[in-house]
Amino acid sequence: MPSPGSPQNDGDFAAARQVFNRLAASIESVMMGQDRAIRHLLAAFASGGHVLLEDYPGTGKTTLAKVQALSMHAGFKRIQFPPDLLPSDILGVSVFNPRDQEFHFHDGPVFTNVLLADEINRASPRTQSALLEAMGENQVSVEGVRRDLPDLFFVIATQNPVEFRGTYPLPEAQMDRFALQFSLGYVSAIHEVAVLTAQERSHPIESVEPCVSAAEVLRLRQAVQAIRISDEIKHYIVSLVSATRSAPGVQLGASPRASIALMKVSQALALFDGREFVGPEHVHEIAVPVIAHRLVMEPQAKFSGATARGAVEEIVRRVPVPA
Amino acid sequence: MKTPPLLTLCALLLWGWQAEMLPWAALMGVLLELSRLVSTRWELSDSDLNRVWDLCGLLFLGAAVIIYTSEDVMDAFAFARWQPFIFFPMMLAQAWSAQEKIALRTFSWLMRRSSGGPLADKRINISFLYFAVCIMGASAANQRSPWFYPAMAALVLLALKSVQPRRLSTPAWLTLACLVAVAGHTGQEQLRVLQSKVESAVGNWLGSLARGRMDFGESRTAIGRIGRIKLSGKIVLRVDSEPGSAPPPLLREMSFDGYRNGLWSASKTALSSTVVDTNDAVSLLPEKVNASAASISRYLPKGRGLLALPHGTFEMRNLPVALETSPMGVAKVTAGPGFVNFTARFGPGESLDAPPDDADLAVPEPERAALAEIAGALNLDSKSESEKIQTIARYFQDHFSYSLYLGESRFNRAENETALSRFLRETRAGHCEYFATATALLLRQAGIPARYATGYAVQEPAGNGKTFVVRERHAHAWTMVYRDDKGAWEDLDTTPASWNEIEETRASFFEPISDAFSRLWLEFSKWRWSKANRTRYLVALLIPLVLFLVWRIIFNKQRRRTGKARLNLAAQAPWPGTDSEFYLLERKLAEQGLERAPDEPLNHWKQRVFAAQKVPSDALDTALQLHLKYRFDPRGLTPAERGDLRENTTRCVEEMARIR
Repeated sequence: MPSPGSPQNDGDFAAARQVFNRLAASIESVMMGQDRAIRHLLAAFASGGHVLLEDYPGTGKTTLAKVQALSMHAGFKRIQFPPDLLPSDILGVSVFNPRDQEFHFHDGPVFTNVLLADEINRASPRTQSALLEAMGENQVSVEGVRRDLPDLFFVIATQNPVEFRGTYPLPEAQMDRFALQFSLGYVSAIHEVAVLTAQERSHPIESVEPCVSAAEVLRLRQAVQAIRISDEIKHYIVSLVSATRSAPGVQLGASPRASIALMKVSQALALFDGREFVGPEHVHEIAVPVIAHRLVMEPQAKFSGATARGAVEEIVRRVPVPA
Repeated sequence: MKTPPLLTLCALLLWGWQAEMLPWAALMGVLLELSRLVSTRWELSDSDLNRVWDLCGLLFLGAAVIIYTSEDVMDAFAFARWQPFIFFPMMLAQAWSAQEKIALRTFSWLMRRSSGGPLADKRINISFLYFAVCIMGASAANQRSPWFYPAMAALVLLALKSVQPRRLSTPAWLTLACLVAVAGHTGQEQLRVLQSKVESAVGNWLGSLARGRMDFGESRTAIGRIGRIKLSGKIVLRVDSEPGSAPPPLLREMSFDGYRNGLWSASKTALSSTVVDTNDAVSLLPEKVNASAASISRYLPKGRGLLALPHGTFEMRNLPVALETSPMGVAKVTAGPGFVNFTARFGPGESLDAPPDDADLAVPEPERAALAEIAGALNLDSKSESEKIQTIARYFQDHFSYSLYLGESRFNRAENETALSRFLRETRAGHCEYFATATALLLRQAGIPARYATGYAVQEPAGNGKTFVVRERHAHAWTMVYRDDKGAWEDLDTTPASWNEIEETRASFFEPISDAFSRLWLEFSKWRWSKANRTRYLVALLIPLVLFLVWRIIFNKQRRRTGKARLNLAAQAPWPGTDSEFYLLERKLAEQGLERAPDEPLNHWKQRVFAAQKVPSDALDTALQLHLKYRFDPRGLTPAERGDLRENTTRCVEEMARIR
């Protein structure tokens, strides 16, 4: 495995781009007009981060997650998060077997490659937090035993906007575990018509075939890590993130984890663009989705209509881009 | 809300006409109205406007200080007429700034500091306020021209016309407006009549209250009054004796020759003005030469008052006042500064006081019995003039005591017994007015002309022994006696010397502190009322302050910009690739209106440049990619790539020049 910044095999780089292109094309065939969302989703995926999709019902969050999972030769589990879901429903539980008089651990749905946590904010914070360790350290501890998750472990969670009825906002620590949060939004009329056309007879998701293997995905991740990043860009990242800590109306700024995530996702974007080094435009492009969801706004600022997204956008506008 | 066009100009012209500053007013008005014709505006931020307002505040304070020090009295009207000048910077800033309105928080430091508040973000247009300031300034400078009211009414109606309610038709509105204008005129006429009536009534009332000290025609003594007489320790005078001369023991303000029931009056009150020459010196008795000298400081509220002078004063120096004197030795300042510090030269012998006449020998009927009784007991008739005076003085010294407490006497006194005869016969205790009156009358009874004098005793040394302070409680009364042998009046004070000590026991515990402040105030007053041109000093003090503020308003932005640039430079210095030729190309494109925003990545900017088609897109793209690699790839460029970057950039620049 080439270490970051070391001379890289051109073949690996091209192969990694190939994997990205195949995945993007496969998802695009179902999620029409969402190339930007797909790019961000795959950037998080390729950089080893998890994704939180927040949007109104019916915009295709679940479909996006499903089609991404189906495009790979990889395990896929889906958990629907009702309010009465328990941590053991996610992590697994030991069941007593009367035949051999022993407890046997039954893996929960978390033991998979791609985990779709659907409507994650409908479960109680206790259950939401069950994912903390899994997402942060790629392992779970159940009944005092540490169990490793597979190398390729990717959580894609969806949630309805928190102002809606019957939802629990995710704890800040949980929010911080997601590399990216973005929304899909409504597509243009042309694309919406195309979606209708595609679903005239059958759902296009049924025709999605796996086009990438788990090993290829791991190679993609390694290629991303090998993307070079200059000190100046690192400084730019840090100045963006640290600016959130003193921004007006922000109670809790972004953590160093946000800086790390911003760097890694930017590396993935650089690779997608066919560049072996990160440019300022990559950081600029992804800063808001990476940083905004981690901020806690002051209640006063919230009441006066300020949003975390707006605060980060303002910071991106204010901090000069290296050129 | 903005004033209609030309209204501010008209208001300023009205003010300029009234305040006799027409050229200035016209210039200011034109500057303001010009902003309506010109579309160029200053980008003034809120903090710039804050500074302009601070400048106005400074001008306001400066004007207050200048007016306070240059006029004799604090003249609110003089102050108001300067207001259009003072607030002009703010109005100018609003007229020429891109912002139509000024944030309310600009006007209050309190609101600037607090972040919230319902009014914090409210903005107002100050043009109507400025209009009001102009009208007020014009009114304050009012020269009572008959045209003033119509002009002002027309302006106000013009201003109101711009907010005429829709439910009123114009003729109806005009009728109402005219009615209001006429009613206003009548009202202010009546108001003036009322004011003059009230003024005269209040004047009379106050005059009757303050007669004791202010009116030199009469002096109501406290003879016959019961209870304690209280006077404060406030310092009213300071006396510095000149080297080689003793301080004057008594400073006289007034003298009287007629006594009746506790009331002394003066028969000769005619005042004649005295010439004060250009050197501020007054010569009262040109022939007199033998002299001591003392420097006397005192406040003259509103520049008027009586001077307390040593007996036999014949010359005063450093007294820039209009002075009137009377045959009773009164020196009255009718106009002058609020503080005088003059040198009086005095000596025994000739004085301002008129020679004695019958009034100076009159003994009132009710007192005659008691006086005759004492005169008989002292066997005055058989003595010479100087012996009579000595005997009387000794009589009071030996048999009387000083007391400020006069109790109970009224209730058990006999028929026809006056307070004075009771003092002479029974109590033999009283304050200086008793002694002075009794002495004067006893002298008259003995056939010697005598007068009653009021003023201050100089008895409390302060500091070096040459300076004396005179407090309100040192107010004193004594007798003036005419010495036939010398042909002159002399002071005769028969009040027992113990009165000093009795008065001193009444000193307040805090007197040293109030004295210290009094001293400071005296020094300030000396400076304030000195002849030096203080205004010049003040202006010299104000100008740097104003310049500093203006400098901050104008140059602060620039300073901030250079500060930022330096910061960027510092941040950029260590980064590789900052010598890229691409920056030249970027600058050239910026000159053509394709400036890159600070938050715009080069790749985004590139799209705009492509769309503008100023440079060959392939060369630009190559140059940009190489530039990005040069700047942001830790591995940098190969020499060949470096050459390519240079070449492509040059090509773009050349192409741009050719297209142009």
